[in-house]
Amino acid sequence: MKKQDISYQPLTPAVYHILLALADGEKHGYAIMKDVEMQTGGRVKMGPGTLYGTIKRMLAASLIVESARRPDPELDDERRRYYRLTALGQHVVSAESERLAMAVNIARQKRVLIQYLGAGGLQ
Amino acid sequence: MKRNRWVETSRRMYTFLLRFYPEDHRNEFGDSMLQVFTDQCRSAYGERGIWGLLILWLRTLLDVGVTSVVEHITSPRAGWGLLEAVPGAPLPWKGVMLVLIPGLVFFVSQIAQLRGEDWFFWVMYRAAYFLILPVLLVWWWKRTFPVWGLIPLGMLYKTLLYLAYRVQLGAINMERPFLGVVISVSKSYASIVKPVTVLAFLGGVYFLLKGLLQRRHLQRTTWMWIAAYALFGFMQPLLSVVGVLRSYEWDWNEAVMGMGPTWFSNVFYWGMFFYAGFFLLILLGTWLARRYGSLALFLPLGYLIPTVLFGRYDEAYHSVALIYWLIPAVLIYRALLTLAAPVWVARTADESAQRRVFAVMLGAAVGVQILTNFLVLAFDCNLLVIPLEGLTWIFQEPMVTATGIGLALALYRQQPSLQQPETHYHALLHGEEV
Repeated sequence: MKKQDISYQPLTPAVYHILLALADGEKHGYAIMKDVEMQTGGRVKMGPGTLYGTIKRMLAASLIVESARRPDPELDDERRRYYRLTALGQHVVSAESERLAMAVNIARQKRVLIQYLGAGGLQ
Repeated sequence: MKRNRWVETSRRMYTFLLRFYPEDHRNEFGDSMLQVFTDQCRSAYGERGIWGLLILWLRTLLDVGVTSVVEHITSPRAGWGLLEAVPGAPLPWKGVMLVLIPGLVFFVSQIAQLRGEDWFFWVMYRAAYFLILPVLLVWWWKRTFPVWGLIPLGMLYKTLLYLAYRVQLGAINMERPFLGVVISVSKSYASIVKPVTVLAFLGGVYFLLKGLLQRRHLQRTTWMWIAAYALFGFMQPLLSVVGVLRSYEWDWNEAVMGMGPTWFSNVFYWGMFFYAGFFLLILLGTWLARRYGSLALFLPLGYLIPTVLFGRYDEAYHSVALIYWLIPAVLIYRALLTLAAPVWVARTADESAQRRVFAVMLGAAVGVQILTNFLVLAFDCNLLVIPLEGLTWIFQEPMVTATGIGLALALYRQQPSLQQPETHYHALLHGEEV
């Protein structure tokens, strides 16, 4: 883990979820929002203000960049702005995921991890 | 895509809400935010109809409320126009709100006074001590005196001047721990306090005028305003001396023997105390005008805001009908000073227009003051036999105020225009790296 990655930890939930959303390819704002909603099972629903406020800070921190490429313009609104992870962003999201995974392992060892079964309730 | 009127209405409303974000954030992300919100609206309406849209709006209003504040606080231009005036641009509304606060305090207390509540006088004598605290805090924190602090500074100056007046007169409750000691010391050195005060005033005026002369900023019109100010300022003491001399049949020696030698110096000292203080403040403002331009006019405005147009109404001494004229006059006067002038001047971009607005607002306030004084005299005595002292009372203080305002406008106009390459805002304005 690089020293620069550690300096970004811990990430805020909004930043982490946006980085995760972009991990599998560039997306525009609404797609990021829907991806975050899906990741969290509908528990985190960002508004445009939160989304773009966070994107602004992530752009300033060079975690993401605006992508110059666009999908087929016939399929998409050209006003949408697409974002993708930078190399730094990829390192940071990996480092944060490792940190969280480590915490989950410890929680399992200490038998404090409660697994949600969705609509089925707690285990 | 088929247009949905609920979605379109929501889009228009959200476009309006985007105005609450800082301009730079809005310019960069406004379109994207609107696009995302539109997508959310279509999705919400498609899933749950109008209820989905309403639930979305509840979340959106919270989102806008929180994030707009965050963006304003964290914006690189968060302090734009808050600490210093921006050349050629009006103060942003957040700055105007800060300018307005001291005046609002006095306006509300004035309404209370007209309803018979006396805490207006507590506000008049003490509010400046509290209103200056956030100004000093920001000054300590940012190492820059904020432009919106000029009004509280003018108020504090007036309050301290009034305190010094009452301390020297001994017109304060001696049981107060700190002020009681101050009054005792003042009385012990009474023979020194007045000359020291006069010397301090003359010294201050000398150095300030000397500085202005060296910078060649005293033109003929400025000297005319100074002369007019002196004329109206000296009017009351001179008339008092003339009145005494007349009673002694113009025998100066008899008058001095009868009134005592100190009476003549006292009548000028007490009669000119506040006018001299106001004059000194206007001259001090020339230094502030170099930094804040015409917004330095907030300093004399802050001095004038605590002016009491009419004291306690007393049915034993005043006509009942008088109150029906006084209430609107006092409210108009107070509104001009506390609300209209600060907001209009702050929101005017051009410096010459700021001075014009200030002149109009304060001129109107002075007119109301003259009218009010005239009404009080008209209801309380026979207009056909108004004595000279009565006419002096009607016009003297308003004319001193008017000439003081004219002097401030003339002086601050002559200051170098706001050219400070080293300021942060000048660099931002011209796209230079900060």
